Amino acid sequence: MSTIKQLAKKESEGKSFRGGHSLCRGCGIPIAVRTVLNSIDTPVVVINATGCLEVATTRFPTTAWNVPWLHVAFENAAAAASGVEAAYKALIKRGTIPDDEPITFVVFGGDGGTYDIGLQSLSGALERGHQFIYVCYDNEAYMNTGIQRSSATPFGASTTTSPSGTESFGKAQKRKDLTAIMEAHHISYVAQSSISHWHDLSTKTKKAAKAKGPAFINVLSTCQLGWRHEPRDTVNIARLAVETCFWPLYEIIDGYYRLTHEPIEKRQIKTWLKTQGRFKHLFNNGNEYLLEEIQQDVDKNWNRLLERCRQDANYFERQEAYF
Amino acid sequence: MKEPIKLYSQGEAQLRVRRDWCKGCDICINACPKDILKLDETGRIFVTDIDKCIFCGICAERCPDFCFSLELPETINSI
Repeated sequence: MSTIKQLAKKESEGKSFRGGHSLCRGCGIPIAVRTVLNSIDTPVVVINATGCLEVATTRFPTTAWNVPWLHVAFENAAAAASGVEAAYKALIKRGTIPDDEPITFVVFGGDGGTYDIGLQSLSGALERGHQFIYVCYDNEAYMNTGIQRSSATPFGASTTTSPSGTESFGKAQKRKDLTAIMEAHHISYVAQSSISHWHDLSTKTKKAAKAKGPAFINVLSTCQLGWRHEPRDTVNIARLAVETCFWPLYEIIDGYYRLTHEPIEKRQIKTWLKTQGRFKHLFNNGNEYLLEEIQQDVDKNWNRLLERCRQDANYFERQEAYF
Repeated sequence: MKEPIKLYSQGEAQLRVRRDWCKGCDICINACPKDILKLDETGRIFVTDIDKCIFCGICAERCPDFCFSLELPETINSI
């Protein structure tokens, strides 16, 4: 377990990912990336899908990365990671590189590159069982190209391709539950975390690094431009998403669910929606039914998750040390 | 800019602030438990009173632009 002081101190050593990048002010992505990379003790190789992170950290001739870093295309981050990992194994077998210090392969992809475009390559790589950690920073739309809707965009959110107006109330479809799709691949570690809970994310990264085979972490990361909130509220809004149970923090170990953070008081989803400009139209007169619908959906998912965690509680009691 | 990197110290513990990387997003001001961070007239962060700092490291953990880093003596680090 890393303490916050250790994470803060590692900063000064200039380990993996540095400042000077051109991500927006108040962006949540670097918070997620730094916490993940600083929690891994072994050397890392980073594979990046196309997205804000890739574009803003590697503007020629500068780079924010202090580790081997690879970017191929939007849709094949996981396939590229599979190739790197297979090459690493082959080189160890030939004795070209020593195997005394294992390397961790980390893939970063946005929700566009994970939920939509990269889903096939990710699914393939998980099925083949390559040893890597896939971290999806989910900011709920294609923010890099100008806030287009993705399958991670929540119901009712206004984006440039699902605008709110007289004919539309924003995105009319529900968001995809990617964490459940990843669980269906029967990999040993799947988790959902948020940038607001650094300890949670750090612990989950450590578990993911120790998992046999691929691991997947879905991290909620806010985007002040697309969500239309003040840059200073980045972390608070991510925290509120957890407290309203819109984004529950849980992990799935070998198919068994475990809640890692239960809010002391489950807050109304309204409090979270109110903080963001993309949901502003939901508070207009006549749109109360939408708020009701969103609240019911959140409640349904939350209760289902609680039920699932209760069923699986026995497994974690029996298991003394998992990972 | 005056002093792109500023060092604040309290005994052996040091807080280093890279002011040239600051984009003025206010996240650290929100996070700081002792309320000692402030933006100057150019919109960059500075520490108002380092004697109040408890070196918790939350600013370094939260800053998206890597402005903060802590240098701590071993005794503090091991707790």
